Amino acid sequence: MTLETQKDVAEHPPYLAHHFKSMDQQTASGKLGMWIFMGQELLFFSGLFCAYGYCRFMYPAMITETQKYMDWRLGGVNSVILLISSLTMSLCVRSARVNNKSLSIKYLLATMFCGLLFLVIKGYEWATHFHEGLFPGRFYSPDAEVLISSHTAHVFFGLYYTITGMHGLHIVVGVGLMLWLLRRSLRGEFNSENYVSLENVSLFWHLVDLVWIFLYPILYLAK
Amino acid sequence: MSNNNHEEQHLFSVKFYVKIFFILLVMIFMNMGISKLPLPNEWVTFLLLVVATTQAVIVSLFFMELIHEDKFYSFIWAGAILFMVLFFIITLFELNGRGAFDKMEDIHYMRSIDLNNNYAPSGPEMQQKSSPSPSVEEKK
Repeated sequence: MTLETQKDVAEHPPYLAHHFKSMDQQTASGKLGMWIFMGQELLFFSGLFCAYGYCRFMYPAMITETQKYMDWRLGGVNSVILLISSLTMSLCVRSARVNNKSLSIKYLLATMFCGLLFLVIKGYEWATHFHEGLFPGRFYSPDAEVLISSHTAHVFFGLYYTITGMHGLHIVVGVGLMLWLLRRSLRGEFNSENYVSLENVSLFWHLVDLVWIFLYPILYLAK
Repeated sequence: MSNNNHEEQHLFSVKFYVKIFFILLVMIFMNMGISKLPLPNEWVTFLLLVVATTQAVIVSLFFMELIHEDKFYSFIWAGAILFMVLFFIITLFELNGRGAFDKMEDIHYMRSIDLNNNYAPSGPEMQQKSSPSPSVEEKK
């Protein structure tokens, strides 16, 4: 090893990948990749929202009738839970940026807890619908107590399970990513210089919140 | 591209994040209130979407921190939103204008269910309750 190479290794920040010139370049590249992915995610969900808009336009009376079976209180509780998780995720990144490792871990755990709580409530909602026979597509077979006369209600429930299912899947992925971040946080990998992974997962989590911000009014509150 | 030292100057305070949280929380309750207003359905949906869009802008600017990030990230985000809006507008225009020429020609396409509960052949594939209807009815 030449003297110059030895000097380079000594000055090399521990978290800098070898294909980047500096930590700034590494952070900027990571964020750019994440924002492009976020754009793709937005377009992915826009297809589902457009399908819902189409359904609403074609069968307005059916949507009004079926939406009576959406529990706006549970949806509201889930909205508040996701909002709290967005706050804790932002505070987690902030804590890492000011080198407060223990607080960052606490906020990360709080965010994971909120994500899991959201899934439990969503699961309860789905179970209630299944109990009433409100299945999607050709499996739709409502109980006698269900007062939906529309012949196209199965279309709404197909969309409902697809949209909320994809959103739920994103929550599962988000919580999984946070588990990975937790492991790295416990090793003390994040600090004011190296926090781009935390920030990118935070962006993903805010996107999940953003999607729910629109899902809640259109699925639960609109008439 | 962004510079870490530059970003550190724009670190929001905890108090600021909490303020943003409460603003968003109030907007969730506003939406719950709007859904109970005695207004036509279209107006309720419109107002709900206005509040939700405002919430989305606040989340993007402050929680996603686009307000002090590199403007290129905002450009990517705005580009995705632009294509999403185009997607919605083109679809809704197609839906709204569908059959415009058929009306002039006095042609009626059956796309869902007629008064006898017959599913149109182009509609959902389900068990038909009576004899199938023609896909195109010409009323002359």
